[in-house]
Amino acid sequence: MTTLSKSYDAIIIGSGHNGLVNACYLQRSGLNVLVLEKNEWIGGATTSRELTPGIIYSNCSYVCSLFRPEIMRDLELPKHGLQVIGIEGGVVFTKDGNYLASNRNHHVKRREMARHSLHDSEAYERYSRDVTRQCRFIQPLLMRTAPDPASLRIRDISEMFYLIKHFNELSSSQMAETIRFWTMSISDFLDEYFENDVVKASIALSGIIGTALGPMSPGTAYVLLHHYMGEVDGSIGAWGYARGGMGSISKALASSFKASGGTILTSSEVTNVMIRNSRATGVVINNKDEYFSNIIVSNADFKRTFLKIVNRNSLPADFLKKVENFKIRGSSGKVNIGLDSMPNFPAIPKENPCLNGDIHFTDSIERMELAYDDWKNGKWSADPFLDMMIPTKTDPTMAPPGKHFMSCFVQYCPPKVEGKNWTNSDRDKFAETVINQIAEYSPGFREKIIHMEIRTPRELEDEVGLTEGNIFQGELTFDQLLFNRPIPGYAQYRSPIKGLYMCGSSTHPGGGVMGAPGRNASIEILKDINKSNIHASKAYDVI
Amino acid sequence: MTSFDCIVIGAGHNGMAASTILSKSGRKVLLIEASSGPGGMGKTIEGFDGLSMVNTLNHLNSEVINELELTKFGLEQDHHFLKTICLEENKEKLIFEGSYGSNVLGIDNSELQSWLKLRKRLFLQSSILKKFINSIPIQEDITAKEKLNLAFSAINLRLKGKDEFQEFFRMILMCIADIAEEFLSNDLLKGLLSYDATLGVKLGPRSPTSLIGLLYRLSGDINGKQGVQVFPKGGMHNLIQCFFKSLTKAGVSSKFNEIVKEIIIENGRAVGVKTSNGKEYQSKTILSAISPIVTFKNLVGYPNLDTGFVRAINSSRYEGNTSKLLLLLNKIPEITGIKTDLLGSRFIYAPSIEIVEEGFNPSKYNKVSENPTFEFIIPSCIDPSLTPKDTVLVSITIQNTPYMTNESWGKNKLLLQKAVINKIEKFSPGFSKTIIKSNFLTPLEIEKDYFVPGGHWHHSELQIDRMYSLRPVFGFANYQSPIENLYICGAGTHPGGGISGSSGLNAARKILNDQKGKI
Repeated sequence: MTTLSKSYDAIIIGSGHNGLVNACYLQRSGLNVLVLEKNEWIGGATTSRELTPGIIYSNCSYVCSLFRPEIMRDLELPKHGLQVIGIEGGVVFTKDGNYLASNRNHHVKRREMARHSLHDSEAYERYSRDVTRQCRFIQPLLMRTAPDPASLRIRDISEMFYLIKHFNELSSSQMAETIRFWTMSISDFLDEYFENDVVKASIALSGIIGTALGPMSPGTAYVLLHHYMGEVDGSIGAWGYARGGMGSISKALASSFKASGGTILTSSEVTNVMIRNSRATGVVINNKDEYFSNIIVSNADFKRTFLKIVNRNSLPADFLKKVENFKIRGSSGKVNIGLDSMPNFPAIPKENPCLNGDIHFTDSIERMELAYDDWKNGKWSADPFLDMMIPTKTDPTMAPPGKHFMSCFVQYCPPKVEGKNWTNSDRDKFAETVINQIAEYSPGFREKIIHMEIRTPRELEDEVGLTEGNIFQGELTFDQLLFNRPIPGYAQYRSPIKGLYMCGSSTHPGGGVMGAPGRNASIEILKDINKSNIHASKAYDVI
Repeated sequence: MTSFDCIVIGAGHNGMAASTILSKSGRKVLLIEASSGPGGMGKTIEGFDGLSMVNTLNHLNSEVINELELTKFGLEQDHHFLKTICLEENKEKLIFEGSYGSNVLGIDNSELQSWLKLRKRLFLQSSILKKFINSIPIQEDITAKEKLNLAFSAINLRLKGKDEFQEFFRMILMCIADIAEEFLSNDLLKGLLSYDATLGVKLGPRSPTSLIGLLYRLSGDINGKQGVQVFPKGGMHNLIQCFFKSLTKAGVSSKFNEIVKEIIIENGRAVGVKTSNGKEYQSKTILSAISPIVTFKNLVGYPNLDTGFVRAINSSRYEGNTSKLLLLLNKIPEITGIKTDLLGSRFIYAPSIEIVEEGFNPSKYNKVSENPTFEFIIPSCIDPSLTPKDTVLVSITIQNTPYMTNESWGKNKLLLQKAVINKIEKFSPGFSKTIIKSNFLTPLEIEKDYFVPGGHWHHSELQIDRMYSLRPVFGFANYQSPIENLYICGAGTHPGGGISGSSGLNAARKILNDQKGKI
C-alpha cells in the first residue's frame, strides 16, 4: 500500500453523492482532494449493498430522477458505468379491491384515470400543464447559488435582480399561481383540480415523502414540486432506477473522481475539524490520524456538522442557536425485503406492467393525514403510507433469476417512540405493521420473504449519519429553502469558520439524489481560491 | 322601477361604511339587507341582549372612524381593554396584560425576557405587514408607485438591521409552534400564541404559515394601540348603532328584510338588482358587501362569468371552523383564584401547543374534539350596563368546530357543548348549575342566520394562498369584479374578517376613484 500524504488541497467529510460530486469538480479543477468516509462502503444514502447472498439492496435512496443531467455530463458518469432506466408503471390499490394504475404515457394515464373519474381525467390535462410550468420556473434556480438578500455585495444584488427578473418573466396570473403553489397544502391544491379520492391520493404522495408534514399542511405542494422537477432522459417528472442499484451512482462518481486522481478513504470517520484562528486547517479521524487542508467541505447534514463534528467552542453562540433550531425531523423509515419470488397481487391481472413502478395502498388523502397525526404523537401508524418498488423486475442485475428485492419506504416513522429511544422490539413491531399491510393486498407475501432489513430513523442516523434519519437533511419548508437554507446568511455554502464549507442536502436546493448542492458548493469554493470553474457547465433550459 | 347611483348589498359594517362614504360623495345610495337590522355578524342576537357573534375588536380602522365621524354619533374611545387569562387545571394562571402581553404575570423573569424579545420581533414584523393590510392590494398592472412602495418597505425593513431582515423572511411562512418553541418554554404562553394564531382558520399550530395569523392580529390597532383587544363601550350594539346613525345622517336609504335575488346584467354590465319581494332597483354601480361566493354563484350566476374566474371562486374554501356558545347565567360565576376585578378579562383554555394541535386534528376529518380549545368573556362583568338585572352573559368562542349538517352533527353538538361547559366547571365550580339559557351557533347556524355559506367568520379561509392580492381571487382583489360596475367588499375580500371597516372603505374609495369626475 502506498503511504498517503497527510496534506491536501481539499478534504471532503463524507462520501455521499453530494460529497463525491463536489470532490469530482474540485479534483478536475486541479486540486488534490481527499474524501473521508466513516463507513466501509461509499455513497452515504446513495448506496447499494449485497445484504443477503445474490440480492443487491438499494437500502436507502431507491429511485433516481432529480440527479442533474448537467452533472452527469460534466463528470462523464455514463462512461464510468452509470445507466438510468426509466420507470414505467405504478399502481395504487384501493381498499375495495380496485386499483388505479399509472403510466409514463400521458394518454394511457388519463385513460386509466377516466376509469375512476372522467372529470379528473380531463382535469389532469390542466394539472400537468400547471405543474410543468412550476417545474420550468424552478429548474434554473437549482443550479445557482442563492443570493443573500440582506447583503449589499454586487453579486448578491445582481443575483437578486436575476431572481426578480426570472419571476417577472411569468405573466401576473402565473405569478399569483406560483405564490399559491408554494404556500398551499397538496390536499387543497389537488382539490382545485380533482374530485376522486384515489386520483388525489395517487398524486398527493409526492407531497409528503420525506417530510414531517401531512398532506393537509401548507407547503406540501412545494414538496410535490421537489419530487417532480427531476427528469429521466429529458422527460420531466419521470423517475428511474440506476442500473445495479442506487450505489451505481456513487460508484460512477467515485470512479470518475479516482480517474482524475482523487483519493477516497473508507472507515475513516472525521471526529473533529482542526481550527486555528477561526480558520479550518484540517481534520482528525477516529484512529487519531490527522489530515491537513485549508479547505474542508462537509457533506454531513447541518446539525451533525456543527453540533457533532466541529467543536462548539469555535462557533459563535447565536449561530449555534440557529443550528439547534434547524428543522431536521425524522419522519420516514424503510423496510428492505429480499423475496423468494414475485409477490402476487390478485387485484390486478397477472404480469401487469404497473408493478414495474411504485406500489401504494393508501387510497385517500385522509388516510395519509391520519398516519401523520400518529407521527405527531410519536407513534408509527397502524395504517402506514408505503411507497414500494421492486427494481429487480426491471433490472435483472440486482438479483438471481426469480428472486426479487423490494424497497419499502414508510411514511411516517417517528424519530423517537413516544419520547423514548427506539428499541429492537419497537423496530420489529414497526416492520410487522408494514408486512401486515402488504400481506393484506398480497396473500402469501410473508412466506416469500427470505431476508429483511428494517431501518427506522435510529438506524438511518447511526449508519448513514443523517440526523434523525431525515432524508432531505432538513425539512423542505419555506423557512429552509433558497436563501434561507440551511439558515439565513449562510446559504452560500460557507460557514462562520473560514475554509469550512457545506455541500450536503442541508444546503440549497435541498435533498434527493440531485447533486446540485455539491456542484454549487464547488463553484463557491473555487471562487474563494480564485480558480475558474470551467468544468461546471451552466444549467441548461430543459423544456 | 326606482333608480339609484349606487346599490350596496348587505348591511354589515363594511357595507354600511361603504354606503356612507359613497353617499357623502353626493351619490344617491340604497342599502339592501336580508335580515331585520343592520350589523351583519355584529348584530345583537335575540334573547341575548348585549351580545352578538363578534363581541370584541382588535383592528378598527381609524380612517373609518374619521370618515364616518363615528365619535360624533356616540362612539366612545375609552373602550374596555381586555386582559387575557390562560387557564389550566393545577397550574398557575398566566395573565397577559397591556397591548398583547407588554407585561405577563405568572411566568419567571427569564421567560418574560424571552417573550418580550419575541414580542418585539412580532410587533416589528406586523408593522411591516400593516401597510399592506390597510391598503388596496397590488393587482395585475403593478404601477411604478407600487413597485417603489415595495422597494421602500424592503429598505425600511433592512434598516432595522440585518438580523431583523433575515428573520422576517425566515419566519413569515413558518408555523407558530416552531417559533414559540424557539423562544419560549412556558406551556400556557405557547398555547396562547398557538390559539391566537390559528383562531378562525383551518390550521393547527404545527401547520406551516400559521404564524401569519398572529401577525395579522397584531397588526391591528385601536386608537393607535397596537395588538390590543377591546370590548367596545356599550357593546358591539352601540358600535353598530354608530355606523347606522352615520349612514342615516349621510342620507343613505336602507331596506331591511329584503333579500337580493339577482344582480341584473345587461351587455356584461351590472345595471340593477332584483329582490325577494319582486322589486327591481336600477343603479349605475353595485357594491356587494356579502360573501363573494353568494355574489357570483347566486346573484350574478356562473353563465355570466368566464370559466377561469368561476373555477377560482369555486375553489375558495369557505367552510367555517369556529363556533359560538352564548350563555345566560343567573349569577356572576366565580373563577377559582381570580379576583372579582379580573372577571372582565378574556379567559382562554389552550394550555399547550399539543392540546391546540390535538383539538385541531379531528376537525380535518369533520369530527369534533373531545378536548376543544376555547375562550370566553363575561360581558356583564366588563360592562355591567349591558345586561338586564339578575342575569349574566357569557360568550364562548370554540375553535375547530367543523361545518356539518344537522344529521352529521347528531349527538355531537350536545357533546361538544358539554365538553366546553364541563371544562369551565373545572375552573368555576357550580358554573353549569347557573345556566338559564344557551344558544350554540355552529358554522351551520351561522350560515343560516347570517346568509354566509359555510358559516365562515372570514367568509372564506384567510390563509396565505387567499390573502392580499389573492383574495378573493387574483385579479379582483382591488374590489372590482369581472362584471363592469359591480364591485365587492366584505370579509371575503382583502383584508378579511373582523370589525375593521377597511374593505368597505377601500372599496368605496376604489369606486370614487374609478368614477372620478362623473357621477
